[in-house]
Amino acid sequence: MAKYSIPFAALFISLCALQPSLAGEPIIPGYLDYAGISAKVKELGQKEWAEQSTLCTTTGGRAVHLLTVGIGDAESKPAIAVVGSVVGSHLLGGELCLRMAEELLADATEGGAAMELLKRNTVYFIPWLNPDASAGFLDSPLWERTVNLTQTDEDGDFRIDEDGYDDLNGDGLITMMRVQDEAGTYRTHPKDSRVMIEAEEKDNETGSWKLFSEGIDNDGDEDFNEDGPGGVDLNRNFPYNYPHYGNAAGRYAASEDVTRAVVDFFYDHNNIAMVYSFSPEDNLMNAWKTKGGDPKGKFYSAVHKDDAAYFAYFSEQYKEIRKENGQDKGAPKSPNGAGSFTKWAYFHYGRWSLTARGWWLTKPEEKKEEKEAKQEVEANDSAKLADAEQPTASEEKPEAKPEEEPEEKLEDVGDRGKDDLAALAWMEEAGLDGFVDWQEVDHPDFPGQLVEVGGFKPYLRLNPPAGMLDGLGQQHYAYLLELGSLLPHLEISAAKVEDLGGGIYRVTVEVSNLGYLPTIPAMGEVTRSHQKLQLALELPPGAELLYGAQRVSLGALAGQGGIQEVTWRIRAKGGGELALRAWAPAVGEATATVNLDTGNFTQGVAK
Amino acid sequence: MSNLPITQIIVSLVGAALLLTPQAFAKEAYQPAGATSTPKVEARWNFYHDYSQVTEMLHQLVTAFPNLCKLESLGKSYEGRDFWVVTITNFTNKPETEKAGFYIDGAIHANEIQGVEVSLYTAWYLCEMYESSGFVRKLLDERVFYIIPMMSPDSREAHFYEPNSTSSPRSGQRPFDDDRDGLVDEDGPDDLNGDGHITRMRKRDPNGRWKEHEDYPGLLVMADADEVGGFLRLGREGLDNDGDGQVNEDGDGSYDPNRDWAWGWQPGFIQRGALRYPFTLDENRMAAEFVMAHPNIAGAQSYHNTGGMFLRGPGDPDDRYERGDTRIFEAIGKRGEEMIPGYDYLVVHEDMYTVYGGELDWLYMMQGILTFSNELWTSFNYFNTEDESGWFGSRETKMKFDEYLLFGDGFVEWEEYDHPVYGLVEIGGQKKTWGRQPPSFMLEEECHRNMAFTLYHADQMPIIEIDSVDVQDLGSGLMQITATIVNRKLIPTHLGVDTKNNITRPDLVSLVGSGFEVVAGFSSSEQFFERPTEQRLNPEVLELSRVGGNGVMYVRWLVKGTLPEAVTVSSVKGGVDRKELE
Repeated sequence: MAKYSIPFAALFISLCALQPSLAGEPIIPGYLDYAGISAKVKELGQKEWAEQSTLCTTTGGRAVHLLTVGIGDAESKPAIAVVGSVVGSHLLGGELCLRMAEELLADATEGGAAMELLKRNTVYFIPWLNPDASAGFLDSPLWERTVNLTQTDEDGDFRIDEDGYDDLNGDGLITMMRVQDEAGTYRTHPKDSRVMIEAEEKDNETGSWKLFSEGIDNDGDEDFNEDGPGGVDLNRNFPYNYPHYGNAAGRYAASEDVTRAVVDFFYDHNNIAMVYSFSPEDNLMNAWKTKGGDPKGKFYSAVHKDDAAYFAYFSEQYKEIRKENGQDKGAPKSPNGAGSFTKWAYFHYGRWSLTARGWWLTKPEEKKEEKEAKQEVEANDSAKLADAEQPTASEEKPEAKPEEEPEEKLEDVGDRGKDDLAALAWMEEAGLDGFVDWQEVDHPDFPGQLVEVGGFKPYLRLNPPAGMLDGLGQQHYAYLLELGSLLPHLEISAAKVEDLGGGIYRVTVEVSNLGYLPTIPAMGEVTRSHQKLQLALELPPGAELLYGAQRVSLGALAGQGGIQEVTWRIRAKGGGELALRAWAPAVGEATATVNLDTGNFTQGVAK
Repeated sequence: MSNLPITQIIVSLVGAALLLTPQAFAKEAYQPAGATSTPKVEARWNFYHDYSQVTEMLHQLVTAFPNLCKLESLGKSYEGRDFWVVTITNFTNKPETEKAGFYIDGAIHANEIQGVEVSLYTAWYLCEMYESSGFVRKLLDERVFYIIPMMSPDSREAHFYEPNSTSSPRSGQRPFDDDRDGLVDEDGPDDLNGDGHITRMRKRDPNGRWKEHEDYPGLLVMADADEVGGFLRLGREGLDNDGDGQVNEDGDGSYDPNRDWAWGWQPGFIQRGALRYPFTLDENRMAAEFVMAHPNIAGAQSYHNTGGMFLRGPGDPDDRYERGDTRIFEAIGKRGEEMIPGYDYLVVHEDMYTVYGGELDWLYMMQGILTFSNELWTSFNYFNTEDESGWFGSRETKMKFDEYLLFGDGFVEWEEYDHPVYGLVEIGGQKKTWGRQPPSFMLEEECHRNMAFTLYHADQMPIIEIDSVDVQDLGSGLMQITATIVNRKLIPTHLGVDTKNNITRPDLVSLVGSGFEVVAGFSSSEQFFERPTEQRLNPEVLELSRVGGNGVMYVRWLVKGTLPEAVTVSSVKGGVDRKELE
């Protein structure tokens, strides 16, 4: 490890000077910045079937863009809402969201799968949920920004933003800082001294380093970087399981304009049947499970038991598609996000809520020969990185790490540092310069102590190289089409007329759902935030309704053939034709007519 | 007039002066104990003020008492009415932010209409009595009152001028699709007989299981198992306006503005009446932002009806108020039980029901404010005896009260009506004007007693003071300066919930002046400094996490150089003080 001293004063750059980096490549080249996202949304918004609008303008003056793709009256069709970059630093989401919109629009020609979807459904795309956070990936110095620009007092000391990160080594990146100290609780990993792990007391290990994020104690309170600029992580600001007094959660649930604009948009668009989002809180690789039974207490902490099988199925379908590039297993565990958007969409809004991390860094597992062979083929072609991490077919169990390698006997530290080692290996494999080697700096708060700055560069472990985006976009677009095909499909499937004599008729109408999914998730029936499925009838002139209401609310219909019957008694001297209409915004509409004289039943005759 | 002789002009002028100011020559007006009989702003407290009458009186108060009263509109209600907050304090002695604030709001449930009257009475009373009452003068010199008299102005107007019952409207006027059928407010109750009251419908039916009450035939009671009834009950006055087979299923919102606050908020399927997220309603958002912008608020009261209660939270059985804080609630609540006969000190979730997202929990849990909610009016008032049949009193008690004290003014007599669905029915029952709210002659007493409780509560808010400062010369140019900081009120400068969650900054004790250097600074809970806490960081400004109710804290500095000018103390919720050093 190179150790050289950098004059502190010369290289110290305060975060107060938050400016886009002027020199050099962005940390993750090829990703769209805010202007790029805006231009792309605008460009797509001009295409046939598409319309661009703004959900809300942020404190930073940025628009939360909405792209509506739909044929005719978009709001009259059941919709899928696709939400990218729910977490500001997860830029991948926004990129995938726009790629999916682009594919959908390009594909929307007669006979294509996209047209099939759009004939029945609308798709809403919100590429960046938290633009003030996502735009931060061009800041210098750079840290993984997940928070917006709302001023907050993170450490509860009644001072605002008084101690943010500081770029001590002048590389424009905020990484970590380690201080050699006998009282420290960290040590280096025996396999790779770049990786820091916690010393375990029970094993009589001793630490020799203290570990901090990179910075100085600007406000002299003996804490480091405890209250930096901004803000609120919108993915902690939604009202489901909201973390009161939680870090970056905002002053109260839905305190942020964007959070409210998003919630309002969803409630005002009762036609949304499904929410497909991108976030590290993935539930497509780690399907949400039920705890069974009826949940007790004030909120549901696990999915409704009747929905669990569907979540499992969504996940299977997703993995099927992700098999292509080997990302059908080994995904990281999901953070259990309090106040998250994704959970809100299911547990409060009551719709199917599916969220994908989209990509994760996998540890190369190939045997040596294969690995070398591959490297030759791919060389530096970053466009093929998607393939580079494809494990070979022989590797069914990536977790079973062979220990037979005849290495020198290294101390076994268990799983500690495992993810960091994997990340380093992957980066090496991918030819990615993702780690800042530890280098010595002079630090004003630790006179006479060895202080080193280094660690993983921000953003690179959460977002793949841009060369992989197109491939990932296609997979996630394919999954969008798959989701569309699962939505409920409403039909007035039969109507029976019984002439009781004396001009009295008994009419029994059957409404069915032929889609895979029920008309509303079981959770939705609990939360009751959807508009009910209704059946209405229009009488021929001279007829009157003896029993039954003209407009009847139906319960939920199960998937794959769920049926509900409604019976009316009608007095109609001259016979005539009844017009029937079944509808709910998030389910769709079906119409039919039935003739009282002949019993003739005709589907799909729109009024 | 120019043609008149000068003497005549003088005579007329003197005469005019006499006419204009009879008091100058008359005897001093007899002042009853309580409120003034010669107010600057004429007021009667035996009727209910509508929105514009409240607005007018607030403006009159500002004009009459410019140094005591300020009026501000925080924005517009859903229907575009000004949302008033009136600030009352002595504006001439020190900045408002240096005084502990007391927040009052009224009738967040608009049908609970006397909440507005108590709030308005309080504003009027504080202004009018400033000169003559030493207690009020001290209160306004030391404290500031923020009063939002009408939390639901649109529905207040609806209650007054549209058909309603004593229980409606509880919501605001923002339309929502309560029955989730895509239509909004399409089937509310209907005032079929056009009397302005939503009463009940009944139908004579030889097979009905209800019969007339023996003593009060206006009431229906269940027939005994072995006797014939004679009536059907058909619920509230109304029609099936939208042809869905249900009567009155979607009227003015069923949402509840007091389930819209940002502590422990839960959506409608868990907490009936909740909307999309905390502060979905603009009126609540305006009030909440006002409170957040005034961290000096240390006490609060939100007036509701009914049942005669001094309520505190929590509304959520899983929450717990800090133990030290509950002792203060109890002390004030128990005093209230003496002040208002028939009222009880109660805890929302223990003694009533579970409430998520209630205003009083937000004020306490998130803002660190000691908050009560008075449920105004109690059935005890009907005959000054306990009525065992719940918050509203028994129907028999009310019928009796109506007969002997309201002379029948409280009920709409049953009258026939030809209903399009039910045929010949009868419509009648209790008017909207009482039941939850006092009748005219009891309103003023309700206003005064509840105000008195709230002023007692306000008087318990902290006042931070420097009791004494002691300077000792320790030799070699070193001084020891010790200050005793006291709070001689019941409520501490920070409630337990405040220190636990860092809601307001610590109380700051500082040395003022120049030419000195603080070597070290300490604080101690006992005067001997046997176990002092040293503040290493920035000892010039010593931080006290709180000064307790009737509590004392001691601070000490070791100082080099010249004697500082003064010691100051500043508390967000407890005011400021300063003592010069000599």
